[in-house]
Amino acid sequence: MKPQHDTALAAALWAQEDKLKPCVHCGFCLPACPTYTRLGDENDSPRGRLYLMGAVVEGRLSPDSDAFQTHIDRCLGCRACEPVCPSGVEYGVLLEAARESIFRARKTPAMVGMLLAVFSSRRWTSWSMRLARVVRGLGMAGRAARLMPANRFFHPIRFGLAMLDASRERQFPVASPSGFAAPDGSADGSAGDGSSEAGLPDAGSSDDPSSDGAARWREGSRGRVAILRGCVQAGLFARVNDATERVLRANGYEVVEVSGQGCCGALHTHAGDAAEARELARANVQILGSAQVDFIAVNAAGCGAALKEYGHLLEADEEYKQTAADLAASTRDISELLTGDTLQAGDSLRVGAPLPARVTYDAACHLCHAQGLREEPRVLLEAIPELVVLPLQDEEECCGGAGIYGVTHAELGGQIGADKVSAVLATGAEIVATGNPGCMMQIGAGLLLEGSDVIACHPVELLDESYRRAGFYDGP
Amino acid sequence: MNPLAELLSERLSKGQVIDGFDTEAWAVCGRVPQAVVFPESEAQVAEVLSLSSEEGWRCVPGGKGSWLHGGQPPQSVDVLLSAERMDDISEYEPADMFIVAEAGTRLDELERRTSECGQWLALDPPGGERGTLGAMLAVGAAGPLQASFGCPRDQVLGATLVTGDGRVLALGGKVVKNVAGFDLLKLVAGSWGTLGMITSVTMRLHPTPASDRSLLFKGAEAEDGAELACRLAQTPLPLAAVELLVPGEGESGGGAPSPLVAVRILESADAADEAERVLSESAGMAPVQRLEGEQSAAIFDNVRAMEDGAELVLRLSLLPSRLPELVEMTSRLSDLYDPNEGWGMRLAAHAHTGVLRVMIAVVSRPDGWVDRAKTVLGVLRRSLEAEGGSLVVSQGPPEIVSAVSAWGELGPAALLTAGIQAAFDPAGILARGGSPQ
Amino acid sequence: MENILPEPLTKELGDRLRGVVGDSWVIVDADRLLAYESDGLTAYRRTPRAVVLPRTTDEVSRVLSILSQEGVPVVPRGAGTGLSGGALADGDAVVVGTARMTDMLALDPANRLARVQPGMINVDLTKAAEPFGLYYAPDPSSQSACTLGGNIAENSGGPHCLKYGVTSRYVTGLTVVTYDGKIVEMGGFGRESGGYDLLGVFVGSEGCFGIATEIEVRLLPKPEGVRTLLAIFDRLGDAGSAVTEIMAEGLLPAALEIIDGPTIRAVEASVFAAGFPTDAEAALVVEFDGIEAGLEADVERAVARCREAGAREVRTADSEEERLALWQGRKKAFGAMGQIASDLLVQDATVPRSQLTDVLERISEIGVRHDLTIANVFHAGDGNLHPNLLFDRSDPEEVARVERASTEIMAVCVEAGGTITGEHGVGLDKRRYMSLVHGPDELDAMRRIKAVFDPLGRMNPGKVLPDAPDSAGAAT
Repeated sequence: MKPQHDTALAAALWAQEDKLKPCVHCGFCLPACPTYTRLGDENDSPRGRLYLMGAVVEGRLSPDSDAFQTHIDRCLGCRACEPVCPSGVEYGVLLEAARESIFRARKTPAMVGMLLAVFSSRRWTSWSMRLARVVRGLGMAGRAARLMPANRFFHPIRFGLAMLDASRERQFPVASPSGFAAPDGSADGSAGDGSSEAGLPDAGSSDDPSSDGAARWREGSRGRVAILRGCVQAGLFARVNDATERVLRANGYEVVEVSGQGCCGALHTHAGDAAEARELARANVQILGSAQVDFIAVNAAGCGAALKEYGHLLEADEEYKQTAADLAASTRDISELLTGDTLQAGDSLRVGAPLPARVTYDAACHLCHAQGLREEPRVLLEAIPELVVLPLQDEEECCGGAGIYGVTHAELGGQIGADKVSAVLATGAEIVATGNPGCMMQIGAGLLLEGSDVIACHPVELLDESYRRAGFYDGP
Repeated sequence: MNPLAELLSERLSKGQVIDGFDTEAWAVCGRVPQAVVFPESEAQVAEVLSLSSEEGWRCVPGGKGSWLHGGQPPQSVDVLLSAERMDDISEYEPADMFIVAEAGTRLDELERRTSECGQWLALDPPGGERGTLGAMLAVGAAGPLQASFGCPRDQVLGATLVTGDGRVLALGGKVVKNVAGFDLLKLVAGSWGTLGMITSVTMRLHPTPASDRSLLFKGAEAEDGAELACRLAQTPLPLAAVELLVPGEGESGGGAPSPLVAVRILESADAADEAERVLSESAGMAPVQRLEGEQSAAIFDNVRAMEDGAELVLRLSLLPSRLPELVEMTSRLSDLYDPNEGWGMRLAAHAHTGVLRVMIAVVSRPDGWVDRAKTVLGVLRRSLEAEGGSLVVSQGPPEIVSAVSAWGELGPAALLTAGIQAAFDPAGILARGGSPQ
Repeated sequence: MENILPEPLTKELGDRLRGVVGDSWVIVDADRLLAYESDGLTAYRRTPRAVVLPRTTDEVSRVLSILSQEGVPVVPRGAGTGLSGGALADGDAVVVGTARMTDMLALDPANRLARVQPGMINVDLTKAAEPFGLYYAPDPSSQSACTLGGNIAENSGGPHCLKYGVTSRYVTGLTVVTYDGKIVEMGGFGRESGGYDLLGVFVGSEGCFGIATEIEVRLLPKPEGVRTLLAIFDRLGDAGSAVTEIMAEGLLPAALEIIDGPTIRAVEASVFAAGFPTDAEAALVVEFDGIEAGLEADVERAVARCREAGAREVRTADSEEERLALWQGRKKAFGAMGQIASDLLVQDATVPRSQLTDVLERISEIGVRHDLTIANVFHAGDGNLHPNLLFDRSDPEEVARVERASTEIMAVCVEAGGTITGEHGVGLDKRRYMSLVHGPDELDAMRRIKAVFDPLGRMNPGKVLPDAPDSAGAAT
């Protein structure tokens, strides 16, 4: 169809027109979409949004129309629609293009603009994270959140404080396993007993320096890795970064420190600020690309997905496109690096000490839908002796965190988050593990406001705890 | 010949119309028609019906007359149309597993033809093999096999219907999946001839099962039998039928009648062995009898004949899990019959659908029996309806059926029902009694 | 196929509707109505005047009362996955959608019954019944997205209705709201109602009689065992012969499906690739279910018949995963066509099984004559064909050829003793073919029954029935 509209604003969508065409309007994506299943308006479904994009391309709808902006904005970007699409529509790419059209068409709301500006600057990021840590350190955030009235006006502050409090490090509610008396990490032999009892490989003996095992896990034997430190991750979840580093070393990787990293740009891409996202990407490609490592390890699903798409993001940039693609190709989620195809045949994830607790796993959208990593985090958790992994209803549904969605769409995000919290509580687990800081905070905040003791953490933290108890970190 | 018969025989031929004494065998719920006609083509049916519509003669379509005593009694009958002389099997394509036959084709004739090709019509309506295809569809009759194969409505692919005003409608088709337009065929199935006369029927056929096995389990008392039937029906097995059978007092050789649960399995021999193991385990006992092949079919043929000779037949329904309550409720009928006359009261229930048939051999008629029957049936119907169930008087002395009505109130659906009747039969010559049926 | 924008609703009428369902659930903004201008059949675009999304039977009744008082026509819509344009608002109609009516009202495992709202997704019912060892038998290929209300409207089939029958066999009770807002109960399990089979005629009435707001259905126990085999053929005709032979053997498979060469190649290029060899010209999927003990013998007989018919390869799905992959490949075939063409028209017709091979040949000739690619995927066991005509809508000449080929295909199927639609319904698209299968008297009888339910003719107007001969303008 020939466009009749003045299409300057629709240029970004225009460029992706061939990606819109495969949509045959079958509707298979509707039940997969968390906003459609809650709102029932087809404009809030993937098919509806694609239809709106198509209308913009056809010149029947203006990208600065309220309908286009509202419904594209309301998308969580979880991409749950992609794996159910028989035609293979690349919804994520189209969404970014649509957001770029909108970003160019309108003035960015103040709150969003401010957030993006903060993450664009390393200094601002660092300062704001420091401030956040101070507030968190006062130990008042959670209590204040719970005391605040749960109305529309206070919601963003109340939920924000709860999220902050949820990022606090907390003691895992792990019981003593049978025959395992000292949970302080000193009981090497007992750890072996525990895991033997569970019918799993004997962690104690495999750590024995005289066995073949030790050689397998000698640091550096698996390759050189740089960890993407991230902004929120580095600011509020330094412990997850530390755990990642320890676990990687314990599994035979050499970890290289790369300083000067910036925000990955995922938030900007999702908000439609593609220009800024490219700027940030170029900086990271430069820094990380020259680090001379085999892999970039990422423990934040959203950042991992963004890095893996650098090739696409910078495809029009002649200077950067090759290094960007190379960087994307070497990017691995931590779960992938520990259990996935990067392992040599015969290698396996190292087994630590028992962690007798009940955990449930929430699949972060940017792991399962964007990166297609479904089994890896589960394999990681299931390798921990005595850790019971309970199934979570709709585990692949978005938690409503979705970057800054909780701020921009407090009500709907809250509703989606509440459903996730109920699902977590229904499992009876003491811990919910999820591979993205935003999800940890979103679910954690929801649990906190429910008055629940269930802890939200990263899967790698549990593995780290298991290794600590097994004594893998007790230095020579 | 009476003037009505005279007029009809002018339109058809002399040999196709009878009147007077000869029509008594064709009484509809005791109403003797003025004339019985035997049309030989759908054009003749159309002619009779359009003439009757003009004249305002009340008509009842029939086959060989097996079901004429059932349903809601008409106020009067002027013309009975019998499909007896329309009994051709017009098309049979074994590879496509359907058969087209005229409405007067007898079920046993159909059975004979299809069995030659290793196929069968998987329905076992009451009344045995003598009934006709058209009548079976018109009354929507189904037996124990409804548990697995459904009712005629589920197996009819097409039919030709001549409406009350003589329009000839070809409904449905020859293929199983067909959603071209509104499914008027569903209205025809079970309409008791009130929308028109069915002249031709296309039925879906099934391959004759590789093995036919029936297992009989015995319960101590009627309620135990009902519980057992429920339990067996709830096993996750593909059972063709689970039927609770309680013989009448008069056929139990004294003492309380002991119930049987008959389970029919139409799977391969290996599968039947496995089903038998699961059923025995669930019943907590082995079957008292195992019947194979023709013997298995024969016991279910007996079930089809259970209504024969009954003066009153009721169909009581509740959700299947409440079958024991339903059986227990039959004790309220004790006033209506004398257990020493004939076989007394027999029960037969389809455990998967929760339909309990009550067959009473002879209705005792002391003073005021009509009033008493009205009261008893009315109260029973109300209590069943309050529980989401129903009571249908499927045959009985016309005085009772007219008084309590065969089906009861239709509620808000009555308007739609009346509209549908008028759409097919504008002159209202086919309507029966108070209810459109 | 042009789209004329209808008059917007008056403010007063909009307010009355909002008063019933709430502000968010009445859509009147022209930009937001775009998403509702098509269903699964994109050949048509019809913009509704408004969309109303009620939540309960009572709300539907009140909405319809208001609209009927104003004489506004009503079009019911479920998930909009239909393939005959049945959910499109022709003329001045308002869409009443069931997207928010997704509740399970009652589940009664002992009686194998469920009562649901019409917006529930087909597959969600089976998911809910699964813990009790039960399932809902009709499984249209769109079951992951289509609603049960939509299934009622279309009397949907699916691969397994060869053995188990179509939707009408499973619906035992309905609560229906007619155009005037009246609530009518039909049927009900455990009860033998007097009067005509209103339930039976309502199922398959394509929204022309009223809106089903509560649905009672029968569930089946899950079969103990399932065996699925896949036979690969170099000629489509051979696969057809295999079907005839299997049925002549007296076997009753749960499903018998054929996927032709072009379809195989589309599926294999999609995320639902099932491992069909891409150089084959036909894949036949045969499934048996029932008591485990009897299955092997049936499979052996079917395998022998396939080999005799010339199958180059016959394999059985050894695991549940393999079986599901085969079915995913089959069920997502329609959507997967988006991989090989930008537009497609999926046809739907049924022929007597013995005519299959002949009819397929004639369809292929039609394709050649009109220079069109026709991909076939169909329920071979019950002769239900789905020729997919591939085209590009930006080529008006090609669109015209698709039209002509469609008409010819319909005529061929009717001539072979078949019908113009097996399961997709007549809707908007096939009204013009109705006179191929029905005479004037039959069409008149259908009109009279429609008038019983909807005397004013304002419930889903312009669907199913061609315009009456005496009214102005022939059927379009």
